[in-house]
Amino acid sequence: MFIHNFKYSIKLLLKNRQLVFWTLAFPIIMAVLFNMAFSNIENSETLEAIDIAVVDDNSFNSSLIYKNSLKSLGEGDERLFNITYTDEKGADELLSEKKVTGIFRIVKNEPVVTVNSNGLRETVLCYVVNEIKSTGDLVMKLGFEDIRKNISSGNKIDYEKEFTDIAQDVLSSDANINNVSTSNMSYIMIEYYSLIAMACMYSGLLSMTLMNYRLANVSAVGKRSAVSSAKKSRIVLPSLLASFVVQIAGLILLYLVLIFYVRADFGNELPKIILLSLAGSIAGLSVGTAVSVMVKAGENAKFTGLVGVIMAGCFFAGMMGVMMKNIVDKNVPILNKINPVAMITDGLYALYYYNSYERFWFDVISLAVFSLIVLLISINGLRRQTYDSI
Amino acid sequence: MTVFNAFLKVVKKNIITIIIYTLIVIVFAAANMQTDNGPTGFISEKPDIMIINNDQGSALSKNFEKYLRENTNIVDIHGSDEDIADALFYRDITCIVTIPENFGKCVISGNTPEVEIRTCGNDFAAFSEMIISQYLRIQNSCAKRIQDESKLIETINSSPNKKAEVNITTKLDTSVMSKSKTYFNFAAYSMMSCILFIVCLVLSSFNELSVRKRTIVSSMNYKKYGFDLFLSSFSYAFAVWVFFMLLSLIMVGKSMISLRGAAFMLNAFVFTLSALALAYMLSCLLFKKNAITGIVNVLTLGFSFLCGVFVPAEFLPSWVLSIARVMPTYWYIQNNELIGTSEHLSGDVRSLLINFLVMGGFTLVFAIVGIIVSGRKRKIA
Repeated sequence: MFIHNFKYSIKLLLKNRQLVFWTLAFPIIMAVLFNMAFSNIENSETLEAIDIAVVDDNSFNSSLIYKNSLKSLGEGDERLFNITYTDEKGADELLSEKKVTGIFRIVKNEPVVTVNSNGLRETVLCYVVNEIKSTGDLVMKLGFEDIRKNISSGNKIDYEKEFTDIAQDVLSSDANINNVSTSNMSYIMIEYYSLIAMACMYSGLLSMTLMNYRLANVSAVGKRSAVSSAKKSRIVLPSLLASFVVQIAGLILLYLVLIFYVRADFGNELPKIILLSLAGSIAGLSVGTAVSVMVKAGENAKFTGLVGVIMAGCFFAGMMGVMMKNIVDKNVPILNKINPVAMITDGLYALYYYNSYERFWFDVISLAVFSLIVLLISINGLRRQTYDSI
Repeated sequence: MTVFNAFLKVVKKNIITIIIYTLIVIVFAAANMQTDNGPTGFISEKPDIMIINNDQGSALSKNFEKYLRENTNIVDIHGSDEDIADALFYRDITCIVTIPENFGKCVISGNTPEVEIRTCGNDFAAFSEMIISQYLRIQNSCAKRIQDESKLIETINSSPNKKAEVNITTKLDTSVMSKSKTYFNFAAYSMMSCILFIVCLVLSSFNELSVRKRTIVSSMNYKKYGFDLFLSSFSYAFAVWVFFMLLSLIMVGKSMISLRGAAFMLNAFVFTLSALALAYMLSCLLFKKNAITGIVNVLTLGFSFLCGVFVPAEFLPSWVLSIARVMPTYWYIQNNELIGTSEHLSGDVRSLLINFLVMGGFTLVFAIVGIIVSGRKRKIA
């Protein structure tokens, strides 16, 4: 009886095209779309060499500090600028065609920067020009200070060497910065994590569809099941197991796409990720069961409603914009503490970003408690459903 | 009138869906309509950083903090280490600078104290590192010559206040244009969803075999029936366009009442026509109403992700943009970009017209495919 029900439950699920689309195909389509849209977004956030034009005239050539500094900033693999040396007209053309971020020129011995608009690249250009100007002034100040000291102590002075040494000293001075950043800073991963969470929660659609077949007040099959001699547990448990099996198959497909096509970074924590996905899928199954049992509405209304609720959960968990999860976590933390999509997303995020596992286990336990509460509510609802007539 | 009433019934039944799509555009556009800088002059971008100063008593560490305050936005994150780490991950801050305990003493004694930084690795983080590095280099080279703390601070501070002259060429109000562009880009998703979802639902109801058979055998003039369907669909699509244009007046403001505002609206209208034609074609191709939600979702999300609605087109890989060219949304977004960034709109009329023509071409192709498929179906019925 158990195996018979299980087999037919699987058949029922796989023959329902709408269900197959939402639970198996939709997450994969979204993963492909995410990959296409986000594959370049973080690369474009890095500070690449900035294209600038320098007006190469007599004024520029006589301002040695700018000439030499810009030359050194435009050399090497880690250069800050890609410099085009040109005349006034050429520089203006390059800027108007947006081929360069800005123009550097010397006017009346003072540096002048021309940019098209405001922006980070433009700011960096201005900052660097200001710093060259400041460093030049500082070299002069320190140089005169040294010369004054040497004169007062009666030492012989080589002016040119004095200034060159100081300039060399300032430019080669070590900042001694220890960068302890971690490499796991890709916030786009949150998109994929919330997608996995969505796929886990879509198991609710599977369990809800099967439970609708078992409920006398929803379907004709349910009426026949209700009057049969079979125990409710023998009807309900195979349905839940079948939903779980189909869900796992869907998740495996999604993970295959994410690992081999999208190349999402899951680190070396695969067992824990599997555990979290299973816990998430159980949470989804329990939600679907509860909606089917507790909500008195038609099949379509329940389906649309559940998809809507899951999508709302995804929205708060950051699927439609990574920052949303952060905004909710900061301002209405309770919302994501009771949102199973956010619990799954947060658990995956904790595994990716943090070295410790406290936050991960907190999310797993939260999911388990959530599932238990929702399942208890469903069981309580199911136990009370008896009909004299319907 | 019968057709029109049926249309209104479906709209009423799906009003929640329409409200949700409207809320999406409001939430997303509002979240992304951050105030840009105005056109009046050059304003420097400042990275958001956090400072952990473990050498509070030292004047040198305070001077370092002061320099960072002048060149960056200092953000204070109150909470646990986890909250700070989260803020870095989500780019609330781009860099955490930790000034060590013995910073001041170390500098005075001629050594170079190690300053620890933790960044999120983006362009603003790189700029923060540049600012920090610049100060420390100046400080260290001054400290080799000056051992008196107050004189050292005075010398360091004498240099960073020199500013070069900066000229900005744009005459555009980039703040307003950025807002308008963001709104109209996001509106593409919501407008297309509202039109595709409802028009497909209504037209596929009329295309159902049993309804079609009844219509064919009825006394109703077939041409009038077809015209009524077209008029109802067009009226609905027009109403959606009017609604989103009115919403743009609220979201963007008075600047919509201008030549550029009119250009944005015209672009949205041409796009609405393509969406309407696409809805007509889909309703002729689809056999089951159940499939509508799925297909409409995949199409609208697909168009939006690949054409630059959710992710700005400049961040999309070139191969994705090549694929996007076969979608009307791409040409709509291209026009929005032109309208929002062009210094002289009159100079870009040709490009604008080409994009309009491509959208018109899509409208025509969708309509022709729909007419052919619906003609075939009529024969089958």
